[in-house]
Amino acid sequence: MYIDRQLLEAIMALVPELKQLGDGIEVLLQPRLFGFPQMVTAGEQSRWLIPLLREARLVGAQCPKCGQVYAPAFVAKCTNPKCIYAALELIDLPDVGMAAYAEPVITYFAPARMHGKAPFGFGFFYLQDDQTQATSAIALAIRTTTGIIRQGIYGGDTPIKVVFKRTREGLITDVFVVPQAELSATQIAQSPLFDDELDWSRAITVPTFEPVPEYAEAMPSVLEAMTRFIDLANQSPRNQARLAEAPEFTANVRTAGGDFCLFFRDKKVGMSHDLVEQPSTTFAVRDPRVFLGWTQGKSLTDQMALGNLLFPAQLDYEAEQVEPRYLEDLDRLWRNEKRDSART
Amino acid sequence: MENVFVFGAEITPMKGRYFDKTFLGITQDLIAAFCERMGPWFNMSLVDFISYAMYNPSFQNHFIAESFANMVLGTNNIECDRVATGGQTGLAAMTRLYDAIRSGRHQIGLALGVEKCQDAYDPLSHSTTPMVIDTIAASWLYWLHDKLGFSAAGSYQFRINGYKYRYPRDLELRARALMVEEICSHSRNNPKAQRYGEQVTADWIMDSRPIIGDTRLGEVCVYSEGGAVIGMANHARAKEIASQTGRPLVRVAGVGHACESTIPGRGPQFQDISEFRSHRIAAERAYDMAGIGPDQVGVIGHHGAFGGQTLLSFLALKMCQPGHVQDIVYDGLVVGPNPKWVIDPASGLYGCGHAVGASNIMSANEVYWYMVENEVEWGLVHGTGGDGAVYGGVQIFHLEAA
Repeated sequence: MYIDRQLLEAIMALVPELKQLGDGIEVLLQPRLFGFPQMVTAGEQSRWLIPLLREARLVGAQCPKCGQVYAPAFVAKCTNPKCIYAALELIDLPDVGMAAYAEPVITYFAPARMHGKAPFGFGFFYLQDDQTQATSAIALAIRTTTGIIRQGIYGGDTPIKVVFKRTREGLITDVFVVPQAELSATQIAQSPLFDDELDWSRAITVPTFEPVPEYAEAMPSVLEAMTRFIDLANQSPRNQARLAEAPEFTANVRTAGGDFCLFFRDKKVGMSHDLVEQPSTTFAVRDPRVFLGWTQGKSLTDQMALGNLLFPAQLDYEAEQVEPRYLEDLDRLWRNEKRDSART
Repeated sequence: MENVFVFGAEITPMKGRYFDKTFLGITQDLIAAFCERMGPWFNMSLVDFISYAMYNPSFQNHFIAESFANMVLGTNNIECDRVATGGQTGLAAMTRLYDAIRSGRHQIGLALGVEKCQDAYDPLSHSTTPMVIDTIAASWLYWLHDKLGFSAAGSYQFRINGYKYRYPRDLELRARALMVEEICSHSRNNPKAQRYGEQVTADWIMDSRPIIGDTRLGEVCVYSEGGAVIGMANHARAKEIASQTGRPLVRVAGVGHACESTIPGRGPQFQDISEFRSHRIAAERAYDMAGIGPDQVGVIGHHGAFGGQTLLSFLALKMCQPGHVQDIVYDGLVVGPNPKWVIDPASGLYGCGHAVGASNIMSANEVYWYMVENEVEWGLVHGTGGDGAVYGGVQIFHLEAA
């Protein structure tokens, strides 16, 4: 998607408004769109964007003088000072390789243009096989067939396979990588490998847990602590202001100690001991004491990042992954309450 | 060539959002405050050059915003320009100013940074920060990186991860949290700090939610709106000014800059992701020029945006050894009651704030005043910016003997 229509429509719907600052001072807030819809040329970038779009092929460029391989062919002339801008020759790039000695980066707090996409990740990778070794690292999106992207899936030198989207637009996001460890030898050897040829079933299911006696024993105190904390959180003026704008949701929470439901509704956070039939989402957390930590200021987003808090991955590229926003809103409650109670 | 001296510096209060000011208003407030601090004898007709530090036109919602800032200062027909090198914008403007005076073409000048970062508003999340991050993301190549969701935090995190691939036990969260706690604690002495009065603890930092990689919310600097200015002059004019202010001369003794490739790779013209090499090279150039090493420096104003990047910046400034960066925190060299290096004495980007283009000048402000008020002989200002912190910059100040 080139233009985020949802964002554009939201911006276009803004109208000027007066804001009272106190002491009789008021200011005018004015909508501005700083940027212009344009049709710009991709110029020399087309040399690799068009093969990507049409043929699901990654194209690099090699210098006839020094032999360096640029991945993708983002430059037309060699940048090695000794080659004095020698013209590069286009080559096919391997669709296998490794992380470029740095763990890929996972974003949990999305910038505006990636609204609804967190958690998402990218990394730099060396595309290489027996014949070709890229000199420059290429930045690619990372995914996993095991669920939402989280820590522990990729390391600093994880072997990867490039996967092409069946429907492409001519963007770098037409491809992503998955760890080779998640694929069969046949899939690794297949070129190109398409997204709809991978098994995503694990990504969209949430685990259920066998009961663990230790966790079941802890459950009453966890629920009691949550009840007390939620009551305090709802009394905080900062939380009340925040909850007035936060999206409503209902999350069934499954643990190995018992299940419950967390929700934002009617400008309040709440909890019930019963699960609902059609929740907004389901969280799976094996150890319910994670929520005891939450009542003491520990972050649920952290548990998501560590892979201890799971929810179904959104496979539709255009749809919103809503859960990180819910977790962020849940995480904000403790500090807001603390800041308000410190003031009083 | 002329020697160049810092003769004054000032900042506006740093705020999350100046609803009552555009960048024009902040510019006027800044220079009015600067003139007041300099004394009634000082006025802008004495200044013959200004380098404006405004990083991103989207923040000011205007291109060539400096021409309008210049207009509201009444500095008609002055020579001025604007510098933008990402987060290193302020330091780059300071060096532009330094060069202008050192060349002899100008006698007195200002490096002036103003930024309205938080005027960006994301109508989907009903907040500003996601759009601020997006505005900065226009700094990434559209075809290669923008669509992947690159951000300042992401690009810096990748460098941190590159270092940690080589040294997995270094840069522990606790060390980062202690460093940020220390820096934020300095805001208690700075009523202009955005987080003045806020208590930031290492425990809270460690418990706060991760925003990218294993970088926590609590170890991320705040985005700010505000301004900062620093004045430099040649020796003759600096002496005249000093006779009015009663302040000692502070000479710009060392300057260094470097910009590395934005693309990691295995060839010599690509980026080494495991270190902030441009920062190290900039530091070496500045140390060489000043004729000193890190051990002589007493106070540092650094560009600290993320805890891991802060500690890696100390490595680049040659304050510690690879693989043992966190030791300078645990050994009390940068934290505690008697550190070897005082870091961000007025709370830097974490506590005072990060009005992006103005921030290095803000850092220079806190270094300059700390040196003058505490008779610290050597001070260092560090700046960085760009995709993956590719810009590195250092200026070294020397408090001259009376």
